[in-house]
Amino acid sequence: MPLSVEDQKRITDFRARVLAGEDVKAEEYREMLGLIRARRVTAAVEGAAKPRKKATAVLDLDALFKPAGG
Amino acid sequence: MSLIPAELTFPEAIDSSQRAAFTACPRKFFYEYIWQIAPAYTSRHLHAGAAFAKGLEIARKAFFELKLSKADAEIAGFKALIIAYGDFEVIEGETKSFADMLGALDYYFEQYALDTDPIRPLITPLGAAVEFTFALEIPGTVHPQTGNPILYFGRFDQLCTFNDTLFVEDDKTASQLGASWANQWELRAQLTGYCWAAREYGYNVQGAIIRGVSILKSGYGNAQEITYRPRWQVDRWLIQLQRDVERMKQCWRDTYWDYALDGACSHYGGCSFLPLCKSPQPENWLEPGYVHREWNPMVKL
Repeated sequence: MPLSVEDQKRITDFRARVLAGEDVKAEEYREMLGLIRARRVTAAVEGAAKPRKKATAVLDLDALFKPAGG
Repeated sequence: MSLIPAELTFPEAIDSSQRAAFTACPRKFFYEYIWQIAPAYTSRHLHAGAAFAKGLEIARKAFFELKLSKADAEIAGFKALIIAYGDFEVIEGETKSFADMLGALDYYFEQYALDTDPIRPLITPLGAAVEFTFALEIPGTVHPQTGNPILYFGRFDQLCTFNDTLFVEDDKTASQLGASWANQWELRAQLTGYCWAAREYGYNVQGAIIRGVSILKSGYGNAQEITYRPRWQVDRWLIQLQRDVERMKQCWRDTYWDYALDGACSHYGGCSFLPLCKSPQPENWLEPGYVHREWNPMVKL
C-alpha cells in the first residue's frame, strides 16, 4: 500500500513529533489516519481493477475432428 | 568477550515459546535459552506485531478501565503503537511498515469497535483483565540448579466474555489469513496453557478466541476463530509439559542437546541458528550474526 512521496513525508514527520514527545492533537492523528485510509481504498480499487491473467489454450479443431487413421 | 555466558543456567521459568523451541529442536532451545543468543537483526514481523499489541492493549485499558471515550481511547492506542514501533524501518516494498501498522490498528477498530465489540474484557477488582499475566508452578517439577519448582509463565491479550461465556483472547498479526491460519489453533499448546492458567486462577474459561489481522500490500483482512479446551485436553497438556520439562532437564544433565536435523531446520524461511548447526565449531560463527539476549519471559518488552 504505497503512499505518495508527499504523504510519506507528512507521516514520517508526524511520527517523529510523537516520538519526540510533542503534544500532538487528536485532529492530527485523524488527519494521518485519513491519509492511510485513503491509500487503503486506492490499493483495494487497484487490486480489484487489475486484469486477471487468463490461461490461454489453443484448440486445434481440425486436429480434433480429423478422421481416425486419416 | 564471548557471547556465551561464563556460567550456564537452566531457566527458572518456561513459557510456550521455550517449550515450542525445545519440542521443535532441543539444540535450538539450547542456543536460544541456555547460550542465550539471538540473531543480531530485528524481525519486522515480531517488531510490528509487538507494536500492534501495545496499541491494542493501551486502547482497551483506556476505554474499559480509564473510561475514556472511544475516540480518545483509540488515539491513546495509536500513540502507544507509534512509541512502540519507534524509528524502526522496513526495507522499501516490504509490508508491516509504520504506516501499515498504524492502518492495521485503525482497521481493527473499524472491524471491532471498542464500544460495540461483543468480546469484552472481564472487569475484575484489579481492573480490566487486559494483558493477563501469570506465573504458576508446574506441579512436580524441580529446578536442576536451585531446587525450586519450575514456573510456567505466559501473557495473553485479555480474559474476556463472549455470549456470557468466559474465554481467553489473543490477537495475532499475519501476512495472510486462510484455512491454514484458521486450522492451526485446534491443539495449539500456547492456548491450552492460557486456559490452564486462567482456570488455576479460578476463571472457568471454555477455550480461546483468536483474532487475526492480515497486512498485505493490497489491504487488510480479518478473521476470528474459537477453539474449545475441554478439561481432558488441558490435563493432557499439563502432563506433556511436565514430560517436556523432564526431557529438558535430561539434556541439561547430559550436557547434550539433540539436533532435530529435519523440517525444523527449514520451516518459516529457515531456522535462525542454521549457520551454527552447519559448522563443526559453532562458537566460531557467533559474531557478527548473533547477539547476547537474556531471555526472561517475565520481563515485558
